[in-house]
Amino acid sequence: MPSESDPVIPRPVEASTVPSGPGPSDEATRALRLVARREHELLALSELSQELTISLDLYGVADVVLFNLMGQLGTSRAALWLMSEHGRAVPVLLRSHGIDRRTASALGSACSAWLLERFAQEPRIVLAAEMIEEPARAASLLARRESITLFAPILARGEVLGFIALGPRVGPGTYGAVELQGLQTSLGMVGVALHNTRLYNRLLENNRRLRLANDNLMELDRLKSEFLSNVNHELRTPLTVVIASLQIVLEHDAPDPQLAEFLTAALGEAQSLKGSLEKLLDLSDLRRNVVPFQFETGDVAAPLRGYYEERLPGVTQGLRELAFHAMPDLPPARFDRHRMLQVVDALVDNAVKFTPEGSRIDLAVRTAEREGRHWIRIDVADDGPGIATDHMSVLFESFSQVDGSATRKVGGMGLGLAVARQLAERMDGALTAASKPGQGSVFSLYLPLE
Amino acid sequence: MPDSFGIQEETRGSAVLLRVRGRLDARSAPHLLEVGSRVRMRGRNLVLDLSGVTFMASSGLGSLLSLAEEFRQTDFRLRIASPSAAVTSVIQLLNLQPFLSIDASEEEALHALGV
Repeated sequence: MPSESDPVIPRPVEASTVPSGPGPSDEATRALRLVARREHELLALSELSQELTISLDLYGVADVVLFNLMGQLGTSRAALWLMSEHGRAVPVLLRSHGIDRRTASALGSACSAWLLERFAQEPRIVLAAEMIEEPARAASLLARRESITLFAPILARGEVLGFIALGPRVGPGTYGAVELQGLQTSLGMVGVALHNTRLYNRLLENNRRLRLANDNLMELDRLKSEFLSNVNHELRTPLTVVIASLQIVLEHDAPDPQLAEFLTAALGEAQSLKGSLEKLLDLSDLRRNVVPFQFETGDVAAPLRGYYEERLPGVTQGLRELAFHAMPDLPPARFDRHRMLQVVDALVDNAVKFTPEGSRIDLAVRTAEREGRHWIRIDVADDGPGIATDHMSVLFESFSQVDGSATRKVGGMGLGLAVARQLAERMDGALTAASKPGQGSVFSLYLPLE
Repeated sequence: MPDSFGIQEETRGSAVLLRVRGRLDARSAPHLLEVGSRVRMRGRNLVLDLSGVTFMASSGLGSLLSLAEEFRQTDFRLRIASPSAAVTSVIQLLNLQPFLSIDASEEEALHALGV
């Protein structure tokens, strides 16, 4: 929300309200109106340069761009696509306003090949009316049906990052040379902003992955200690028996001297081995941080918001929208912060892995009733392809993948959801899933109230 | 803080009245669109009282046009009531009055919607 310190840019006053003085001619009024409009466009440009710093989320930047251009040029229809970073010349619709999302998505797919070819030849604004040659004809029909007037490339360092589409101006008049020049200038700023946002998001995502890698290394270290501890136990117990037996034989049965020499050597080595094992056990205990759960009672929304802010750049970098909603005044829950976020992260990872670019992922927290009890419920919902009914039953089993074939697109051992459910249950909570093919999936983590 | 953005919602018969106050700019524009779209999805007509808008940036106007277009494509109607000088000057400048249905007061807007 705006703060008092925001710079307030005065808007131009409409020409007809300018004190007119004694009898200005119609021509003078028209000239004043024109000046006021140019001033409006310049102010819109100035506002855009400030507004582009508001959001570091690609979808937020797209909103800023489209709203500004719509207000600057007076159009009620606009959409923005960004090219995928995965080497495919496929545009992903970030935002559309005044155009149905599905239709805008189809429009982008239909027009992209022709547009990209044109932009490669000459990166300039293209009027939809120019799309008359095959194979652009079908795209042209769709653009005309959706009242799209023009397409314009978004460039950074000479590379096409994406493009926008604008509908007709809803006031009188069409796009003139001055409006198109203003649009071109705006898109120059937009290209730099989107390029920087992508770079910054990539940086944040790399930092997050490094931190995860570090967490994984620490976990491996802990597992190593646990392994050592188990091994020590398995070795030390039989070794104690061996040593005691040798001592009994040597002390009570008085074997012949040569045999006693062998037995004494064996006893010495066994005791030495036991000493080494005990040292190893001590080391293992020192290295083991055997506190698997640290429960706290309090607000779930705050750590989730922190997680969301950290996760957002990486998810939007992958061209999926991530939104966070928290019900106000949530009652306190009992949970382990680290483990809760581990579960949520596994669910978000899962949503990113199993949805195509352009999908939306919603992270939401609220209260809910389940099996006669009140809970804090954290949902991770996506609008991806969903999960087939016959796969739902094995979703939380270890080593299970919805697509278990050797040619599957998504990697992993199928442990994420199994581990997540175990963690949920260790917190006295539950993890459930609901999905309909073609309509997305919702994973819900239930945490007990205080 | 008279300048802080806020939306107050009131149901009036078959219509919803949203009283908008403060700065309508890039930060508040998505919020206005979200709240307005929810009214449309609930199948209600909408009256936007913009008398409390102290400043309207291009982005604010963009969100207004987007919302008007959304309603235009449905059977539901959106009317703007008693826009402040900050709003009127921008709308008049771009000659958007024919596209945006504007009334002098909330009551006139509601009356035009048959409420």
